[in-house]
This record gives sequence, C-alpha cells and structure tokens, in this order.
Amino acid sequence: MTDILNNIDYCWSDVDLRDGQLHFRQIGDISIWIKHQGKEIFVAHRHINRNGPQSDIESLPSDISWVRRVCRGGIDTVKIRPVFPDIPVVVKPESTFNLSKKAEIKIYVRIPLWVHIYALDKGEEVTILEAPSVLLSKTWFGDFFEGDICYWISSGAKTEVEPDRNRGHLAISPVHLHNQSNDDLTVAKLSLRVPNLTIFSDGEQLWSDQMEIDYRGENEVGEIRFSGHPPQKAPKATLITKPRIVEKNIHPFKSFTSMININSLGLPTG
Amino acid sequence: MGHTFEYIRNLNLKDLLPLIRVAVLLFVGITIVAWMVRKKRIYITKKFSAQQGLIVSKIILYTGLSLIFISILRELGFQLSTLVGAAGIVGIAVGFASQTSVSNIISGLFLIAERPFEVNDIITVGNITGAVLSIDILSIKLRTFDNKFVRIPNETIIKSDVTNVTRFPIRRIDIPVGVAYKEDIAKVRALLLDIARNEKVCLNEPEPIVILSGFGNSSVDMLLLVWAEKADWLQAKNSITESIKMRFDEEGIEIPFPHVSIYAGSETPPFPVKIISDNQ
Repeated sequence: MTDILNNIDYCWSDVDLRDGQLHFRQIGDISIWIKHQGKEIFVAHRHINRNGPQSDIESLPSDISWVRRVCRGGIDTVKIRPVFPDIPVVVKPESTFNLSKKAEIKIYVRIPLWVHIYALDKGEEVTILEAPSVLLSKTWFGDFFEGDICYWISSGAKTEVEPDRNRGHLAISPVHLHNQSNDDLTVAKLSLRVPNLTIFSDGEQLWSDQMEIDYRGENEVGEIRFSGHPPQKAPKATLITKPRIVEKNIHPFKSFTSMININSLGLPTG
Repeated sequence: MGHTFEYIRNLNLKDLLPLIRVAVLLFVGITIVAWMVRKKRIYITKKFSAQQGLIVSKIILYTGLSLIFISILRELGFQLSTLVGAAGIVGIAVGFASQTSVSNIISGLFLIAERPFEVNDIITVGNITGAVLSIDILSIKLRTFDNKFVRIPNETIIKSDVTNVTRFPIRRIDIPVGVAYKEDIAKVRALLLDIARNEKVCLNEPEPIVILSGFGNSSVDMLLLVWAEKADWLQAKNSITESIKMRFDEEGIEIPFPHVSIYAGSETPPFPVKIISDNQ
C-alpha cells in the first residue's frame, strides 16, 4: 500500500476538485486532505508518527485543523508539486570517507522533498500549503558564533544510484566533490545548499541539478556551483520546480566537516 | 485686547510674509523629515537590521529638526552668530545642571558604538529580562515577557552586567535529573539520550550528552545537556522535561523527592499512625 501511495505519478499529480469530494494524498510521511466549497479550499495535513500507534492513514482524524484559503474565482484544480527544503541539509555519510589531495568523486544523495500545494486563482499562483514530506531533525553546521541551522539526514553517499519510482517523495541529488587542496580531506559531514537546487523529472525519478563543491583547504573559502541542467543520469528530464534561491555560485567558508569542532559543553575541540 | 485687534488690522502682507514662510517651513519641513525617517527606517531595517534602522532614523530626525529650527530662527530675523555665542554660555550652565543626562548621552554613544545588543535582542540587566524596543539617547526601552514597559538609563547599562540571551543562534539547555540509587545508570543515560534524539526541536549536533553530576542526599544527580535554536529554546526545554517524566513513568524509573517528617515536640502526643498490611 505504501509503495502505491509513494509512487511518483501518484504523489505529484493534480487534484481535480470538481466532484466536490474529500481528496486524500499520502506523500512520504505526510497525509493530506483537500476539499473545496464554493470559492474556498480547505487543506489539512498530518505527519505519521512512526513511534506512536499505527492507524488507518486515510481516515480523517477528528481533531485535525484545516487551512482555509478564500480565492477570488472558482478553483477546479489544486496542484501538488515538489520543492526542496527551505534550509540546507547536512548529510552524514554512513561511513566517513577520505578524499586524497586533488581527487574527486561524484556521490548521490536522496533528499526528502517538501510538498507545495497551490492553485491558480484567475491565473495567479496562490500557495495553500507548504510542508515537509518527512519531518527531519535539525542540526547546527558551523562554530558557536557563525553557521547555519540545517536539516539532518544520513546517507549511503553512494557513487551509483538506481531510480526508484516508488519513493516519489525523494529526489536524487548528484554531488561532485573536488579536493583541490594539498591535504587529504576526511568527509564526515557535508552541507548541501538544497534551496539553490532545481528539480527535474524523467517520469521515473525526481532529480536535482548537479552540485559541484570545491574544497581548497581548511582555512580557505571554497566554491559551490549549481549546474541548473538535468543531471547526466537523466539528460532528458524536464524542469519541475525552479530553485528557491537563484544563485549559481556560492563561496562558503565551510561545506565539509572533517572533525568534531564543537561539543555539548560549549568547548571548542579538535 | 483692543491693542491686539488694532495691531492685527494694521498688519500688511510684508509683515505677514515671514510668519507665512515660517508656517510653510514648519509644515513642509516636518512632513519631509517624518517621511524620510519612516522610509529610511523601513528600508534600512529590511536591508540591514532594526538597530541600524533606528540609528539612521534618529540621525535624520535630529538633523532635520535642527535644520528646520535654524531656518525658522533666520526667517524670524535672529542673528545666528549671536545665538551660537549665547548657546555656548547656556550650554555650560545647562551642562552643570544636567550631569546625569550628559552621562546618559555619552553612555548611549558607547552603547551604539560597542553594540552589546541590538533592537529585538533579549537581554537581562540585573533581574530584568526583556526584548529591546529601542536604544535612545538617554535610555534603552525593554518589553518584559509579562508585557511591562521598562526604561533603563544608559548609564545603568554601562555600569551593569548585561546578558544578551539571543546573541548567538543556538543555545544549550541544561536539564537536571535525579534518579533513585537503585536505578541502572547506563539505562537511564541511554533513555535520556534517546529522548533528546527523538525531540525534533533538539539539534543533532552539538550532540546531546549526559553528565553524572554527583551523589545527592536522596538521588543520583545527572545533567542532560541538549542544544536548540534560540527560538525553540523554551519549547525544547518544556517538551524534553515532559518526555523525561513520561518515559521514566513508562520504564518504572524512580525520581526521588525529599520527604518532610514533622515532629511536633514532646509536649504534644505523637501523630496517630495506623499500619495496614498489604493483605488488607
């Protein structure tokens, strides 16, 4: 059942409201209910509690709260589209790996997407709901004074990847790492600027454009580039969602963490 | 009264012209200054910070008002050079009479230059904690969490310890936990870390840790240290504490608490105590 629900076609297809019925959609861990009365659209959502008691996911909880949107004109269709998370994602490879000096590697990371529900109200896009398909925990990437709040995922960070149409709520992100420094680089964690990524689809899998990360040394400013084109694995993929932040190049001080540089006691280490 | 009417009746356009110019100057000048203050404050607050927006708007306000004041004096025929001389003498006299105010003004300049906090930061001064509403020439204004308005003179701020609670983006939450001596410490430690890791508002890194802080009178004292975004601090503290109680109850882990026995003295009869066996 979960496989059918998470199928890529099912997840991101439009919802026809003309029948006046209550519509249900399950994308990753999020259950969404949509209904419409006149010029009003009602959307409710809830995330599956994996630690709590399991219940029928399609049944509408009695205590759910609705988001209500009043439109100018009549709305026939609600569109559901994937978007990348609103803040960067820190990826912790299942096993730390070393990148020799001047070496490069391409890894693939599956990133849980957000759900963007909107309608065209007299030709103008109105957002009804934006919510994560999977609730991710957060982490801090940086030192005690500067850094970013990021989402946290662990990944196999594999060099090969197979499309999986039954996990439609995940996009595969190709990341090309290049160690341009004269030292070995130990990659324990990687900060991916996902708000800058574009989403493409080849009908089988959602992809992002390729991210190129250059490492130039411990105290050097690196560079991140976003290709803006479909990845090599899916050259004919079509554009689904533009990036949240349009910026082709970023020059961060830090994209990698190769050592634990802060600890819970508030003391710098490493 | 009759003289006043006579004076007004004898006024011609030439006499009225300076007064009209003053009125126009006041109206147009104040309108332009107010518009500029508002526009620049919104723009700079958006572009930079609320603090910088406030400073720039104050500079525009005071400069604009000074220019209007000088222009009005000129329109009314005052000699500015004479006024400047007089202002110097008056300034010395006023300066002696208002040492506290001058001290506050100078302290305010130090505060603006040093920037220990900005508008919207949450600070603690003495036993007052609140969000900074404004940093002005004489004082700073705070809004406390129970919605009181507090004015603290700049001089007091300079002389006091000031804690800026929201300067850094993440904060640590220290949660003391006491468990009974009979409990398995390793199990309690694992449970506390599990609670922290399952709490969505707690950060994965810096990693939560548990410290065995000591042996109390009736409990083994532990400390759970977790990190959260500054905006989530209170929510994280509350939900973790709640989760600890719930999970300890589920796992049967005892949280001891001190018991008080009241001895009423030898003059009074002992408290009646009835022992009931488990079977009854």
